[in-house]
Amino acid sequence: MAGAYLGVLVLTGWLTGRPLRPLFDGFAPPSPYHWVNPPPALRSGNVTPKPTVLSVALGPDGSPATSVTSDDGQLSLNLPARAIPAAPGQTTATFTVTPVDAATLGPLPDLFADGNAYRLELAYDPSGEPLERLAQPASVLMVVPQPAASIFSSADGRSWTRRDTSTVSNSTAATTGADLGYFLAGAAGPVRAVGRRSDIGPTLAVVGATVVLAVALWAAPLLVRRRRP
Amino acid sequence: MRAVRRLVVAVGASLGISVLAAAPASAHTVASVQPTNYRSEIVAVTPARSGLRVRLLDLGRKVELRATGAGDVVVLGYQGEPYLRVGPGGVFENRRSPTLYQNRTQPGGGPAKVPATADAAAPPEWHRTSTGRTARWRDQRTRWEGPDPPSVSASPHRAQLVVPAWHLTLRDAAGDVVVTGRVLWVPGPSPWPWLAASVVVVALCAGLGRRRRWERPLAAALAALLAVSVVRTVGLEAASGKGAASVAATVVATSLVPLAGWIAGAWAVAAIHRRLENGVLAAGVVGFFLAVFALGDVLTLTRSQVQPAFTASFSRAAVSLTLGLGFGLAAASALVVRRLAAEARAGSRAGRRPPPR
Repeated sequence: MAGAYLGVLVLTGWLTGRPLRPLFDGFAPPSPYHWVNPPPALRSGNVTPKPTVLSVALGPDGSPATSVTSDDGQLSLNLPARAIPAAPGQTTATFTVTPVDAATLGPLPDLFADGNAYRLELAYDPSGEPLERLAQPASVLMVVPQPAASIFSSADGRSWTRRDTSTVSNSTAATTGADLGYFLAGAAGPVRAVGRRSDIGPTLAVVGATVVLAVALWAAPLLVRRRRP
Repeated sequence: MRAVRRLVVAVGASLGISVLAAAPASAHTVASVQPTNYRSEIVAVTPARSGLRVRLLDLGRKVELRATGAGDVVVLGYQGEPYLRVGPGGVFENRRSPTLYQNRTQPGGGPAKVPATADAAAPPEWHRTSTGRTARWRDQRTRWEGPDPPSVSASPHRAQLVVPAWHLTLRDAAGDVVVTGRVLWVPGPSPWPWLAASVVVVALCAGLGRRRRWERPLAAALAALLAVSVVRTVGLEAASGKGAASVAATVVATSLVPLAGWIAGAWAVAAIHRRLENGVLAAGVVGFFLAVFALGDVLTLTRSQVQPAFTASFSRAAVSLTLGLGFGLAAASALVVRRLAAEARAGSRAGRRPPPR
């Protein structure tokens, strides 16, 4: 963007011979991460996420395809059909998604905690009997404050298992599995502040193309006139 | 004075043309998709399938599905009914799907009526719409429309999650594929730096009309305006996911008014180099006309989500520059035309031939 302004300023400065100062207002901000316990630099304006409770109706074959999303939208669990098996006398199953401060849990092997941990609990209603695993693997999507190297899971929040992780975007990582319990993303370095996304490189390329087109439009009539006898 | 009157008449005519050529209010502005502060994004496609690609277009108002696998992929509509089918045979729409009609708009705006024949429970009646493997459709699930939710009204300056998860379901022979996305509120940037830049450019450009040797700088300002306008228009069309040939055809078909401005402007650049008065007049008209056209896109400066003309930053800079260069050229042209008229009067009093027009 600065390049766009500078291009115009160079052009207008050359045309007018006046010194000029560029103006620049930056880029649209990314959405802030909601921390249970934010780093000191990110405390201002933080919205502390709350636990989410969601009921899934059970049919004769178990649960339908559905998804569960945490209150802050930073964890989504996409369940295929029959992920929760039917059980005699049980009409619904209740998911509880609890954001947890990662610092209160066991450390990740070789990596730094990337945002909050989330505890996923599932229980049948009305019996209240808990389920430790799903009958079908579900996908877990985690929004993270910085690009994640891996997602880890844990039954007790103390010892972690590294999971096959795919990167959906710089701010989202995904994994698949049937386990419930704690989930936490790991990053190569500690979280500092969310970087602003920049489109300076592509913008400079477009500005360059625009300048070339403008010069061609401007110079073409002069070249044509010179070539004429 | 006669030349100045001609300029005023021409500018008035161009204003009238631009007003008459403006489309009725819709999701699109004069040149692009209406900017917004609601950001729609896809966060997952699960389970992953090879040969299946889904993305959002037009700031989340449209979905594009490309299916290059061996079998058909069916898009389910708002009631879970088969809506679209994409596969080796091409793209098909289900004429019985209510979603098909709910996603259409009437000419002049407003949702189309759902006919009595539409029935989500009826067996599909497939009708091929394309031989390609890519479907694009407007979808109400992937965007936020209507008034701001209370949380946004309470804290409009804070980025926040508005729709935590929306879902589209696709179905193939292996089962369902769920596309999950979300909608966020992202506050817009301040427009004042951009508008200040426009004002500065207006002043600089208008100042060209006072220079003794105005031809080359005036031609350069006009060439810059035309280049920005062309690149932005092409970039906006390219952002809708079209190929190069389709972009070119769409620009020619739907941008007739700007196209006329570009052609007139290119001629004016050559005419200004030759100090022709009509070239200066044309530059003023083209500049004024493109700037008035750009006023319809001023929300690009105030909203966080804008249809990128290659990039969002270039979109904003292009609107700011078009306003500045366009109105500046109109002012510069008036000054030059007035001076040429004065020179012509002085020349005729001295018995010289008038300059060429």
